[in-house]
Amino acid sequence: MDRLQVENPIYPLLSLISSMLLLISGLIFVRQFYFPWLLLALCVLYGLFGFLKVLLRSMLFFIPVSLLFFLTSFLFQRNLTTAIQIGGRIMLVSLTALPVLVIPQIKLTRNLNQLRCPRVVTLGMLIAIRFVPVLAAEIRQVRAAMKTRGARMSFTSFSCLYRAFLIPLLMRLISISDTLSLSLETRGFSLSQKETSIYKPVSFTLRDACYACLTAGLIVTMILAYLSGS
Amino acid sequence: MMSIELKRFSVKEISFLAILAALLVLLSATTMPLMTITLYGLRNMANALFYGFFAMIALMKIRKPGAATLLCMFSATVLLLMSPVMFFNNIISALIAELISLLIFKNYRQEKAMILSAGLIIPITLPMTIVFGMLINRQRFSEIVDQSWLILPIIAGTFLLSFTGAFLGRKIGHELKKAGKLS
Repeated sequence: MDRLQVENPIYPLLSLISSMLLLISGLIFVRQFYFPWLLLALCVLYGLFGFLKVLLRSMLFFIPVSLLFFLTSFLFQRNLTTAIQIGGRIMLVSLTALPVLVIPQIKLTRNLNQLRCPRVVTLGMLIAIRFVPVLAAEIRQVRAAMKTRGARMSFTSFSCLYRAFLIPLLMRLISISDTLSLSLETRGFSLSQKETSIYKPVSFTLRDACYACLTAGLIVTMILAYLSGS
Repeated sequence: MMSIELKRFSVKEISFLAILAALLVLLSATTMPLMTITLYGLRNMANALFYGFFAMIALMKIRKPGAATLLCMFSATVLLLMSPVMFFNNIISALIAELISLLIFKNYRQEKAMILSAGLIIPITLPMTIVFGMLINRQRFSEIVDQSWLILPIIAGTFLLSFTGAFLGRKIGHELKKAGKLS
């Protein structure tokens, strides 16, 4: 996820809200004939705001994934329309998630702190997003240790999975969380809502306002097209 | 009068819940390919074991009202980037599950309360999926539940897997407690 981050993202909260609105409205219009135009419009919008490089990089992953979903759905359901809709939904999810994926997590947290969001939420959010790759690496390590001991990861040998995978993984998890909380507390972090200083405040710029207007315009156009069609 | 005891969370507890949520997201991502099958409740059933298990572990370490909701909220934060529907679905379901359990047992001192709370989270997402499907995807009830003969087995399977996960979590929780890791 770090490879997708850009230096100059859109205002974090705006990205989050606009992504949600675009996704929800996109899901409503997924069956309409103009749905591909929505995907194209999103690509143009991201290109205008300097996300072209990151868009191309992410599409290298998301296009094959959408195709895979399309093919699997077609194989299972034998219905071309449903398969196209599922493939389209995956593309929509990946495209609408892009402005949020490119935000450095710390900026999102700073933004929420500025808006006096409870620290329980911001801390939890930051850790949960940040630790996904760390835990993926931990899982790989536990599996490597299993291989070294000659244990095989299989759902048929549940006792082996339980002893050699689940217990060590949870032990590591508890150790990591203990170390993390100690590290946080020694740096003076607390969950109380008292006044704190934010070193690099995130501000709303003219560029963000333009992005908000264009996104709102896109959603309104979709609604108008939907109303005129029905 | 019956009242639910509310306690504050510490940094240690929040970091534990958040890391558990990250692992939950990672494991539940393995059920992503099921998105291609539009059978009602299948995705919920596939996630039931993971959610039951991790919610139980979370509640065994942090016996405070709101722990399961926070766990689901943190995991949903990651999902928010992919699906806002799942975000609201998870949080509301966890909240309702905890409320039901706490209204019956008042607190998490008894293991029954934790099992009920952890086991109910995913089954509650089943009716919520219908509501969100009708609201957001503009589907009719008959479209969502298109293969009605499969509904009962799927609902039963979701309950079974969710509570199996909770019992498995209890078993591992006891072992970790013996090792002094879950206190």
